[in-house]
Amino acid sequence: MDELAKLPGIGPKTAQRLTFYLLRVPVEEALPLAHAIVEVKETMRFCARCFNLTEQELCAVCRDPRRDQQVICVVEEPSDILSIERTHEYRGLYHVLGGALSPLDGIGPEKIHLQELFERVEAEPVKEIIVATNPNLMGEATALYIAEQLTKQVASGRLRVTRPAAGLPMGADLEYADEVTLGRALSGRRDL
Amino acid sequence: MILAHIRLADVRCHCALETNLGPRINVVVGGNGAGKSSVLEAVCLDLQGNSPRTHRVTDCISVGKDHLRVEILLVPESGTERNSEEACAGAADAAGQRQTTAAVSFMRTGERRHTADGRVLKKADRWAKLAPVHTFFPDDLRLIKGGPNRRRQFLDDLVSARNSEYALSVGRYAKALAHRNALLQRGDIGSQHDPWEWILAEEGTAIVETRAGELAVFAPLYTCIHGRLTSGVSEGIKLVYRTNVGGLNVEEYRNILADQRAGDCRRTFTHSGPHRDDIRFMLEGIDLREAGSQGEQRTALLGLILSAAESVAASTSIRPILLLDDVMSELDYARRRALIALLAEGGQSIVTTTDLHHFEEEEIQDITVIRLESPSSSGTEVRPDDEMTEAT
Ligand SMILES: [Zn+2]
Repeated sequence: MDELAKLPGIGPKTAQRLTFYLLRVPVEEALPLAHAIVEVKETMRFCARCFNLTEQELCAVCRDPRRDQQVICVVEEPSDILSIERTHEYRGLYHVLGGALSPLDGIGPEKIHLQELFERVEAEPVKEIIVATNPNLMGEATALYIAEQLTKQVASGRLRVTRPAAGLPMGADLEYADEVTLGRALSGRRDL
Repeated sequence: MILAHIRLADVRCHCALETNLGPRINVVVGGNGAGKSSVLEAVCLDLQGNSPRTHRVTDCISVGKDHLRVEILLVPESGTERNSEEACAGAADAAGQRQTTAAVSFMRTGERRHTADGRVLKKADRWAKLAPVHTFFPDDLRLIKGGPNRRRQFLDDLVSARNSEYALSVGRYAKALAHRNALLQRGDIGSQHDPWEWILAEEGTAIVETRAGELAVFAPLYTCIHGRLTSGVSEGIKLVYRTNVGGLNVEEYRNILADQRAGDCRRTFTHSGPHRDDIRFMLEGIDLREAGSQGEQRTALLGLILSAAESVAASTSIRPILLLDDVMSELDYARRRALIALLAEGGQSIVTTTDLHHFEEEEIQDITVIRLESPSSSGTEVRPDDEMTEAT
C-alpha cells in the first residue's frame, strides 16, 4: 500500500481503495498489470533527442521525417505531447524539459533539460521555439528564462521564441486543456 | 445581507444568548463583564472564521464547555425599509438572494465547522462577499501603530473589493518574490533571477499604480469622514502612500532589481517592491504612528473603518456590517453626534456601550437597543428593547 501511495496523484485513501481492489480481483487479472509495470521499466526510456517517452533510441516524432524540423515545441512533461498531438494542429518537433524552474523547490536550470535544448538550437536547423510550458507562474518563468537565454539568436533574426496565445486557463496544466482551446492557443502564438 | 437574528451558545460568558437585530444601528448595552464585546466577537467567529480579540479561538469557548456555537440569520438588505420584521419576511427574494442561516461551531480540540443552512462549508470565506464585517476594537490600534503588514493588508482588502484583477497580481507577485528570495538565500545572483525579476517588475508596477490610483480616490473620502468625526477642527487628516518603487516603468524596475541582487543577497531578502509599501496618517504635519496621541490614533482608526465600509459599499453595492466596540466612551459630545449621524447614513451596525446616555433621546428613536444582564446567566433570552425601538 505504501508503494501505491508513492505514485503521483495517489493519496493514502486512493492507495487503500486500490489495495482492496487488487485483493478482490483474480490472480489472472492482476498479473497482466504487474507485467505491464515491469515492461514499462524494461522497455520504455526517454528519447535521446527530445526526452519524450519511447521504446527506441529516438521517439516516434523524432523518427518521422515528415515532421517540420524547423520548429521545436517545448513542454514540461511527455504527457503534454499527447495533448498537443490530439489537436492535429502541430507538425513540428518537441523538447520535454521534465519540469519547470522553481527556486523554492530547489529546481534550477541544471535540474531540467534546458542545456540540451540550447544545444539543439545550435545543432539543428531550428527557426522557432514554441514554449508551451504550463500557463502557471513556474511555467511562465521557465518560458521567460528560455527567451532571455536565447536573446542573441533572436536578435540576429535567425530564431523566434514564441508562447501559445492567452486563452488557456490560468494556472491550469496543459494536460487538462481541451483540444479546441489548446489548438487555438497554438495557432495564435505571440513572440516572447 | 444584514444580520436579523443571532444566537450564541457557550461563547465566553454567554451560556445561551439570543436576540433579534435591527437593520440599522443596534446598541448592545451592559455593564462591565456583561459580555458586550463577546457578542461582536461571535459575529466575527461566524462570518469571518476568526476573532479580532485573540488568535486562539479556543479562548472564546466558555469555561468547562467543549465547544461553542454561533448562528446568524442573514436576510437581504431591504433598501430604505427600516422594519426588521419586514426585512425578514417580505424582501427575502427581492434581490435574488434568500435568507440564510450562517452557523459555526468551534471545538476545544481545534476543529471547526462552518455551515450554510446546515450544509457544511469548506471555508468561512463565503460570507466575506455576502456579509462583509468591519470591526473597530479601541484597544487594537495595531493598524495605525504597528508594523506595515496590517496596513498593506488593509490596502489590499480595500482595493480587492473594487478590482478583482488586483488580487491575482498580488498573488503572482508574492509567489515570484518567494522564488527570488529563495535564490538570494542560496547565494545565487546569476541569470536565474531574470524571469522572476521580469514577473516582479510587471506585477510590481501594476500593483503600485493600482494602489496609488485607488488611494487617490479613497484618501479624500477618508479626509472627509475623519473631518466630520472631528467636527473639522483640524486642517484635515492626510493619507500618504509610501513606496520605494514609485514612478518606474517595467524596464527601470527590472534594472533596479538586477542592480540590487548583490545587496539583496547579503540581506537575504528583496529590498525594493510593493511588499515594502506603507501608508502614513498625517495630521497637521505629524505622523500619527510616531507622534499621535492615543485619542488621535483611535479617531484616525475609527474614521478609516467607516471610510473603508463606505468605499466597499460604493463599489460593490454590498454594505459592510460595522461592529464598533465601546466607541462612544472615547468620543466627546460633538464627536458622538457626528458618529451616530454617519452610522445612520450607512448600513447595519452594532455598537456596544456601558451607558445608553451616550445617545440622545431622538437618536434612540431609530436605534435597536439590546440590553445584556450582567453577567448573563444560563438560558436568558435577550430581546431588543421594545419600548425604545420604533421598529417593533
Ligand atoms: Zn524525440
